[in-house]
Amino acid sequence: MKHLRLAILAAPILLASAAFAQNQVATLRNTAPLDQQGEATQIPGIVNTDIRQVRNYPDQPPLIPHKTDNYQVDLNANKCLTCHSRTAVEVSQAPMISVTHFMNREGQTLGAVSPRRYFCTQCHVVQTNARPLVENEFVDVDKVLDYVHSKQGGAD
Amino acid sequence: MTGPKTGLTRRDAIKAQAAAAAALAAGLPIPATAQNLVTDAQLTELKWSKAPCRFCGTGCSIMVATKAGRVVATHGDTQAEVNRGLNCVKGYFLSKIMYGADRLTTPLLRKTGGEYDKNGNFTPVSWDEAFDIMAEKWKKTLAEKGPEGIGMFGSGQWTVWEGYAASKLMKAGFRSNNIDPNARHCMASAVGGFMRTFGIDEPMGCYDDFENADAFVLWGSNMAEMHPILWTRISDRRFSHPHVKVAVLSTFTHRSFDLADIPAVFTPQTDLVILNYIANYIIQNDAVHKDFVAKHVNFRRGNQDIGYGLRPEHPLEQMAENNGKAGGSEPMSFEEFAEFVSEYTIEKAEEMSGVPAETLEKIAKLYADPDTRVMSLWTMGFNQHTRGVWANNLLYNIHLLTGKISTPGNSPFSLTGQPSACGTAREVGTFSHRLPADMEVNNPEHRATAEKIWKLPAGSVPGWVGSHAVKQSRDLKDGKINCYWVQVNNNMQAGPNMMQEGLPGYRNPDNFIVVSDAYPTVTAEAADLILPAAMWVEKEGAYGNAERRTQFWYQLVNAPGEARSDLWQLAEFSKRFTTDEVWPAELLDANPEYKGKTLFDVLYANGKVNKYELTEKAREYGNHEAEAFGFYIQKGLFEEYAEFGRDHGHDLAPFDRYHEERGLRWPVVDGKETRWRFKEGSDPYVTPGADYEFYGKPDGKAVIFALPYEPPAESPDDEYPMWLATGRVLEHWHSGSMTQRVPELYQAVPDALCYMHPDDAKAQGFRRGSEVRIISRRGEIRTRVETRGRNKPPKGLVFVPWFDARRLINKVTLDATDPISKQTDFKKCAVRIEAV
Amino acid sequence: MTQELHISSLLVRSNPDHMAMVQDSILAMPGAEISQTDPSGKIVVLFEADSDRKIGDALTKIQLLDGVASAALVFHQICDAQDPAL
Repeated sequence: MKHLRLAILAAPILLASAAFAQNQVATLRNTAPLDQQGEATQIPGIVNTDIRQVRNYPDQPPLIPHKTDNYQVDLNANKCLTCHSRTAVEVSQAPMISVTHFMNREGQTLGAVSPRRYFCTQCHVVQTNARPLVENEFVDVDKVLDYVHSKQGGAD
Repeated sequence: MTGPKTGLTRRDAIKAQAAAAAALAAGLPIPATAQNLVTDAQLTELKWSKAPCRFCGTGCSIMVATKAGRVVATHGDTQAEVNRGLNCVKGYFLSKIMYGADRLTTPLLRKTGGEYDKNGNFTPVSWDEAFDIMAEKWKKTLAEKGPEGIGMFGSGQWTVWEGYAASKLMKAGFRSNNIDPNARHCMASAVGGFMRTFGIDEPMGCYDDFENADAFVLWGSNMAEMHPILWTRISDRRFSHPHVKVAVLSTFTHRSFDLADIPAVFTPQTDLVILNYIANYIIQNDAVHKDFVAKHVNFRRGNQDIGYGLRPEHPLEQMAENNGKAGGSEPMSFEEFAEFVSEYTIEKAEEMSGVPAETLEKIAKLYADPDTRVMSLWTMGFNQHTRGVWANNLLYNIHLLTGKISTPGNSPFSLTGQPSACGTAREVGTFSHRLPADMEVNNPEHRATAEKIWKLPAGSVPGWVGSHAVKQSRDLKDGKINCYWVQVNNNMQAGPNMMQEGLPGYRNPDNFIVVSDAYPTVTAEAADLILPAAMWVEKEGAYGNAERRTQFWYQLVNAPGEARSDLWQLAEFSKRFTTDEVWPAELLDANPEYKGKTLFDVLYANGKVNKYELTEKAREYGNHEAEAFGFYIQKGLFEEYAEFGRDHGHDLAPFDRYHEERGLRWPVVDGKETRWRFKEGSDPYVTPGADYEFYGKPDGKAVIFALPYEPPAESPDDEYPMWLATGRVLEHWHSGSMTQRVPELYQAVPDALCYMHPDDAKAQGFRRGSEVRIISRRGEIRTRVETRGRNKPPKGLVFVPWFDARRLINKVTLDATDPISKQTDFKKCAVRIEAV
Repeated sequence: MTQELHISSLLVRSNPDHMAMVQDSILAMPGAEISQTDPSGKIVVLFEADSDRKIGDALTKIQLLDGVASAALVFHQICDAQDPAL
C-alpha cells in the first residue's frame, strides 16, 4: 500500500496517476467508491509457526505464534495455562507467563496466576497472514537511538 | 547473596542464560558503535510521562516513553487506580497509533482547474486557503439561512477544552445549537435515563464498586471485549471470592459468557420484559426496601406508544400516539406501580424472552436478596435501543426498589465507549440541547448563566434545540444544513443508514462538508475539505472517564507536517469572523462594545480564557496551541468551564492539580474527590441527616417509572428473516481508523465477518468462509460467514462488527432512534443473507 | 519461609558520563551483580531474589537512579530454592 500513501502525501504524483482516482483517499478501503463494494476477501489463515516475534518494546505483550481454535478459557478451565503455567513449561517448553502475572492489584505476589490476568486473549492475540492495508512507521527505541547516534556522529 | 557451589551449578547456567538474553537485547557486544559516545544526557534519556489511553471510556492511565520527538514505548501505569499497570491489547499498542504511513499532513480541498469543485479531486492547499473557502461558505450560508444552516459534529474524543471551545464557537459565536457529538450514538440513552430518574447525569458509584459487589449483572454489555480492564477487575473479584456470581444477558453468546455463572440469551427487545419481571418479583416476594422507597423515591407513569425516531412521515411515527411527547409522565402511587408490573409474570417473561424461568428467577434473586450487593453494568445493548431511556429507567427501578444504590458494591453503572464521552460530550454539554454542567439551551436561566460566565451579552445564546446526530444527517440530505464541520469522528462509517441518509447528505451539491481527522477515513473521503488533525499526545489534553474521573496529559511529541489540533483549528477559524458579520444588528446595537470584534476576541480573548500567561505552561513540555495564541489557552478554557460546575455538584479541582494526579472523580470538594454520590458520608452535597439525597431532583427523590414493553421498529419477516446486531471487537476501537493501522491489531482481526449460527448457515448452504450479501431494505454489503468465531449468535440472528472500512455494515442498518434520547438502535433490524 | 529463587537479568541504559556512579549504586543493592557493560552506557545486571516483588522493586529503584535512562526486565526464571541441583 506504499503507493497509496504516496498518492496522498505527494499530490503531484497523484495527479499524474490514472490508477487511483484522487477522490478516493480512504486508504483502508480498496479502490471501490463509497457507495460500492468489491469482493470480500477470504478469511485469512492463522499464523501457526511457533516462531516468536520481536516485541516493539519490552512491555508489549507477546503475540501468539500458534492457532488457538477451540481453546477453552472460562470459569472451568484455562487451556493456555496447560502449557504456559510455571509448572507446565518443563514439559511443554513453552514460554512461562511473565512474573507480572502473579501480582494482584495491590502489587502483592500470589502463589498462582492473578485472576485479573486470567483471560489471556485480552492482551495476547493470534496473527493472521493478512497483509496490512497501510504501513506503520513506528520505530523502536534502538532505531531511534541509532538515529540520535548518527546525528551526534555527524556533528563530531 | 550466596555464591555458587562447586563446579558449574544449574544456578550458574540460568544466570549465564539470563546474562546472554540481556546482552542480546542490548545488542552487546558492539565495539564499533560503542566508540561513538553520546555525551549529551538529553540525547540518551527516555522521557516517561503519563497520559490516559486514547480508546474507550474505562480511562486507563498509560506511561508513554518519548525519544527524539517520537513515542517509542508505552506501558500500563502502575500508579493508576483504574488499571494498576494493566492495559488491554489495544492499549499496549498505543505507541503505534500515530504512525500509520498515511497520516494527513496538509489540508486537502476538492478542486478542478485550481478552483474548489464539489466533484473535484482532493488537492493539497495551505491552511489559509482552507480557512478562506470555509469562511466564505459559512458566511454565505449564515447570510442566507441564518445559524440554522450550519452544523457541527464532534465527539467524545474531543479533549475537554476542545469540546468546550467548539460548543462556545457554535452556540455563542455562530449562535447555532446545531452541534452534537457522536456520543449521541453511544450513550445518549444513558444520559436520558440519568436525567429522568435522578435529574443529574453520570453514575453515582465508581469503579471501587468492582471490589465490593457480590454479584455482577451485565445487561447487553460485552465487557470482556469492550471494557477489558474493568473485566479484569470483575474476573479478579469473581475468582478471588467464590460466593460472587456473574450474570450475563445478551441477544447472542459472546466472550463475557466465559465468566458467567448465569448466562441468558434473550430475544431482542425483551430486556424490557425481563426488567419489569424482576421489579414484579421483588414486589411479589416482599423484597422492597420500604423505608428507602418511602423516603427517597417517587413513582411516575411514563407516556407510552412514543414512536421510533424515524422521519416524521414514516407510518410508524404517524401511528404513534405520543409522538412528540415521548418524555412525558404523570405521578402514580406504589400500589399503582405494583399493579402495572404485575402482568410481567415469570411465565410471560419466559415466553417472550426465550430465557428459561429458572434462569430468570436466579437473576431476580440476586437483586431481591438484601444481603447481595449488586453491580449492574450496561453499554450499547441498553443504550442503542429504541426504548433505551426506558431500559435505563427500568434498571434504576430495580436498584431503587431494593435500595441498592450509592453504597460500595450496590451500583447501577452505565459504562461508556469513548475516552471522554463523560468528560467532554456530557459534562461540557456538546449536545444540541445542552450547556455545561447539565444545563439546557431551552432554559432561559441556564442560557443567562452561560452568557454571564462567557462574558457575552444577554440573548447571545439561542434557545432553540439544535439538530441531533441523526437529524443532522437528514438535514444535510434535505439541504437544511449546508455547512458542516466534522471533528474527531468517523460518522460516515459509524452512523446508521449510510446509503439513504449519510452519504446523500454529504454529497448533496448544496452542501460544503469539512472533516478534521488524523487519517483519511471513510468520512474524510465523503467530504469536500479535509483538515489534518493532531492526535492524542501531540497536544495537551484532558479526558473524563465513566466514573467521573478527569485526567490530563501534556503534549509529548509534535504533530506531523501541517497537522494541527482541533483546538487550534477552532480558535484560528474564529478569527475569520467579526461579530458584525454573524450577530444580528439588534444584539450589537444593544451591546455596542462588542461591535467590530472577531469571534476570537469575544470567545477566547475575553479576559478569562487568555488570563494565563504562556510562561505558566510546563517548561519541559511543548504546547503548540499556547505558543500559537500567546497564552495558556487550555488552562484558560478549563478554568472558565469549571466555573459552571463549582458549587453546583460538578466541582472540578484547579487546573494544575490534574497534571499531578492520575485523575480525580468529581465533585472535587475541599480538594477531595467523591466516590459515591447521593449518600451521606461519601457525598458532601447531601444534606446532613438526609441519609440519601437525590439532589438532582427538587425534592431530593429519585423516580421509579412505570414503562411497558413495546416492540422494536423493525423485526424479521418472510422477506428479511434474520435479526442483525452490530457491534465491536476487542482488537479494534470503534471504526478502526487507528487500530486498523497497527499491523499487529489488524492482523489479529483483519475483517468484519458475519457471525452466524451453524444451523442457519447450513440451512442456506453456507460454510465457514462462504461469501455472502447481507441485505436490508436500505442497503447491502458483502462479507464472509463465520460459524466458529468468538460470537455465537442463536438461530435467527447475525452479528457483524462495524470497524471495517471495506465492509460498511451501516449501509444496512436502520436509523430508528429512541424518541427521548435520539440515539440509534444499532442492535435490531431485519436482514436476509444471500450467497454471492 | 520462602521456597523460591528468582533469577533475572535487566538491561539498563545509562548516561555514559554517570555510568560509574550508576554501577556503584546497582552493586550496593543486595542480590545484584553486573555481568557486562558497554561504554555507550548499557549495563547488563543479574539479579537474584526470593520473590518477584523484590525484582520489581529493584527494577523500579534502578529506573529512579540518577543517570539511568531506562531499565527493562529481559529474563526471569523461578527456581525451587530447595532444589539440591541448584
